[in-house]
Amino acid sequence: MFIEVKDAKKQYGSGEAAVYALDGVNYSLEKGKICVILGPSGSGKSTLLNMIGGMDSPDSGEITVDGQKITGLRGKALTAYRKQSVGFVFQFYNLIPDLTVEENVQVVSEIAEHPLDMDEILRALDIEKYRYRFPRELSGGQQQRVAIARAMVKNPKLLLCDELTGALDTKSSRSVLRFIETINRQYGTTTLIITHNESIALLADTVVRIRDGRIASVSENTEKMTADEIEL
Amino acid sequence: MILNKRYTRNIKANLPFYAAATVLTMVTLLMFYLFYIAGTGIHAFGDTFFSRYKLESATFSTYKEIPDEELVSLEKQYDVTLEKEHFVGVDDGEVRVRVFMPNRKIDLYEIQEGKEPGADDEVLISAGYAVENGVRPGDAVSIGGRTYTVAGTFLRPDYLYMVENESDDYKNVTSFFLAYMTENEFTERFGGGSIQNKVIYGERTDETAFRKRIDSDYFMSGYLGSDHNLRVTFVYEQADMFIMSSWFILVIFPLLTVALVCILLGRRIRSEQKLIGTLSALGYTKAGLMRHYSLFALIPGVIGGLLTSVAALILAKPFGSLGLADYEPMKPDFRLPVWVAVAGVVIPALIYYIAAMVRVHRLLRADTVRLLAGQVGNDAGGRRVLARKRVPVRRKFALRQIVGSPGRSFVIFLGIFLGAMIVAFAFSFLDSVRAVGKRGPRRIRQLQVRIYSELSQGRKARGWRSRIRASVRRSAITALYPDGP
Ligand SMILES: Nc1ncnc2c1ncn2[C@@H]1O[C@H](COP(=O)(O)OP(=O)(O)OP(=O)(O)O)[C@@H](O)[C@H]1O
Ligand SMILES: [Mg+2]
Repeated sequence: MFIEVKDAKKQYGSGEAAVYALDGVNYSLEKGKICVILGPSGSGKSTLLNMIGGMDSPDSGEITVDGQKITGLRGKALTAYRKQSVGFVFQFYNLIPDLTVEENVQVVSEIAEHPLDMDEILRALDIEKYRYRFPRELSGGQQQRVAIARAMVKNPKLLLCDELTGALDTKSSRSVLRFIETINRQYGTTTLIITHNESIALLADTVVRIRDGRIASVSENTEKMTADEIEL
Repeated sequence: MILNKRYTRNIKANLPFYAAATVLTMVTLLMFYLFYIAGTGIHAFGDTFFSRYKLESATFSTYKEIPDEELVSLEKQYDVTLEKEHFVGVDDGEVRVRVFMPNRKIDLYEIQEGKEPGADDEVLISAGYAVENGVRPGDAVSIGGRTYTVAGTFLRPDYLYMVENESDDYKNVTSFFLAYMTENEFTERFGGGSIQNKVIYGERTDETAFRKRIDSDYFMSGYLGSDHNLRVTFVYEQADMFIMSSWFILVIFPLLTVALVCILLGRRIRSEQKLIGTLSALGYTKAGLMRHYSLFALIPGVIGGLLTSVAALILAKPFGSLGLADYEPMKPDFRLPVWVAVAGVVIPALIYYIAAMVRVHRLLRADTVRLLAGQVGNDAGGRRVLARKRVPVRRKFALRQIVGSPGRSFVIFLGIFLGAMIVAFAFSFLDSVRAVGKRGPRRIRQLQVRIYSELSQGRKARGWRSRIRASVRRSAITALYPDGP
C-alpha cells in the first residue's frame, strides 16, 4: 500500500471539552489511485489529510507513505518529505500575499528537484492571464487554482487537496478536475481530494466517508467517470 | 530566491513599522554618539593641548626667591622642569588684567587670531575675553591707563577655564583678561613684576620630597597642583561628564529601544505565522526561513545605524560646541571613531537579526497545523474575557483591547515611556548644560576636596596626566554620590 494509516487518534482539548478529531482511523490507498474523502463539517477530514501530509501528528497510531514512516519524522527528514513527496492544496489556499501568481508557483518550483513546466500548468488551469496579479486581486476560485498549480509544479508523488472546487464555478471546476485527471494519468500521482461535492466522487477510484472522526465507509468506484462526463 | 522579492514589497507595505524602528534606533543611538563625541573630543583636545603647550604640574610661590642657578640643580635632582613666571595684576576699576611675561618652558600660549606683538604698544589678550567683548586684532585696549593695540588673541593650557581667583566659582570673561606684552614693555612698566614658580614633574619625581625641600630652603607661601586647579581640571571634568552621560544614555535608551524593536519584530513575525507555516509545509527548511526573516530584521538596524553615523558626522560639531560654552574658545576635533560607528551599525543590526532568528525558531517548534491556523502564541486568556456575559459588545471589545493582548499593551507602555524619557532627557540636558556652567564645577570640586582630600594626599604623583585623570575620576564619583561613597 502506498498510504497506510493505522489506528490514528487525535484529540483536541481535554476533559469535558475534549474533541476527538480522529478516533481510531484505519485507512489505506494504493499507488496511483484517486481517493475522494467525503464527510460533514468538523468530521476530521482536514485532520487526516494534514497527518498524511506531514503537517500534523497523531496522538497515537502510525502513518506510512511509500514505505516511509511519517509519524515521528522531524527536522530535515520531515522537510525533505514535505518538499519532495507532497503537494498540498490548503483549504484556505494560503498563497503568499506579497508575491504574484507566477512567483507563488516559483516559490515551490525553485526548491523542487524535478519541477514541471510552470507555463504549461498555468495554461492547463486557465490562470495564465493572471500570472502578474497578486492573490488579493483574484477571486476565491482563481486563488484555489493558483494553489493547485503551486502544489503540482513540484510533481509530487502525493497530491493532497483540502476542499477542492468548493469555491469554483462549474467551468473552472471541470478544468481543475481535468487537470488532476491528466496529472494522475501522466505521472501516476496518488491523489486525495476532500470535498463536499458528491459528484466529484464519481471521478475517484475509492470513496471514503468520514463521520465523527471515524471511517464510516470505504467504497471502490467501479464505474469511474472522466472529468468531462460527470455532471457538476 | 523568489522569496527575496518580498523584501521590498513587504517593507513598502509596512513602511510605518520599519520607519519607526529605524528612526527610534537612530535617535537613541545618536544621543549616545553625540555625548560620546563631545566628551572624547574635549578630552582629546585637552590631551594634545596640555602636552603641546607644556601644562604645569603645579604653581607655587616662596617667601625667598629661588636663585636661577639653583633652579638648574633642582631640576636635575628631582627630575622636574622649573621656570619662574613674571606677572603683574593690573586693576583698572571696571576691568582687571593679569599681564604675563611669556614663559619658555611651561604654560606656553597658542595664538588663536592675529600675530605676536611686533611693537611695545601691541599686546596679546586672552581669546575668551576677546570673543565675549567683540575685541578683534587691531582694536585698542587699555591696561593700567595706557592704550595698546591688540595684535592677537591666545589660549593658555592653565587658563582654559577662565577663573579669575582660585576661590571663584565661575568663569569671568567680562571684566577680567590675560595679556602678554613685549618683554621690553613689561620690564619698563613693571620691572620684574611678581614672581611665581611653575613646575612640571617628571616620571621619577618624588613630589613630597621636592615640596619639602622647597619649603625648607625657600619657605613655601602657596602651592596649587593642577589637579586641584579648576582652570585645568574643568576640561576633563566636563569631558568626562559627557562620556559618562553617554554610557548612561547607552544603557537606558538604545538598549531599551533595541528591546522594544525586538518585541515589535517578534510580533510582526508571529503575525506572519500562517505564511511561515505554509512555507514550512511546502518544504522550506527551518534554516532558510530563519534566514529569510532575519534579513528583514537587519533592515532597521543597518539603516538606522548608517543614518546615525551620517547624522553624527554632521551634528558632531554643533553639538560638541554646545558643551564648549564655558571654556575659552578652544577648537576640539569632534570625531566619530570608526569603531564606534561600525559598532553602532553592527550591534543593533545583529541583535535584531538574532531576535528574528530566535522568534522564527521558536515558532517552528509548534505544530505546522497550529501555525497554519494562526494559533501559536495567540491564545491569551484575556481575549475570551466576558465571552459568556451579557455585556454590550462595545464594552467587551474595549476591555479585550486592553486585557486581551497584554503584550501589545506592554509595548505601547514601553513606547510611551521611551518617548517621555527622551523628551525629559533632552530638557534636563539643556538645563544641566546651563547649570554646570553656573554652579557645577565649584560645587563638584568642593565635594571632591571635602571627601577625597585625604585620599589624594600622600599619593605619589606621576606626571600631570595621570594626576588629573585620578582627580577627575574622584570628582566623577563625587558627582554621582554627592553624599559620599
Ligand atoms: N486546532 C484545533 N483546536 C481545537 N479543535 C480543533 C482544532 N482543529 C480541529 N479541531 C476540531 O477537530 C474536529 C475536526 O476538524 P477538521 O478540521 O479535521 O474538520 P473537517 O472535516 O476538515 O471540517 P470542514 O469540512 O469544516 O473543513 C472539529 O471538531 C474541530 O473543531
Ligand atoms: Mg477541513
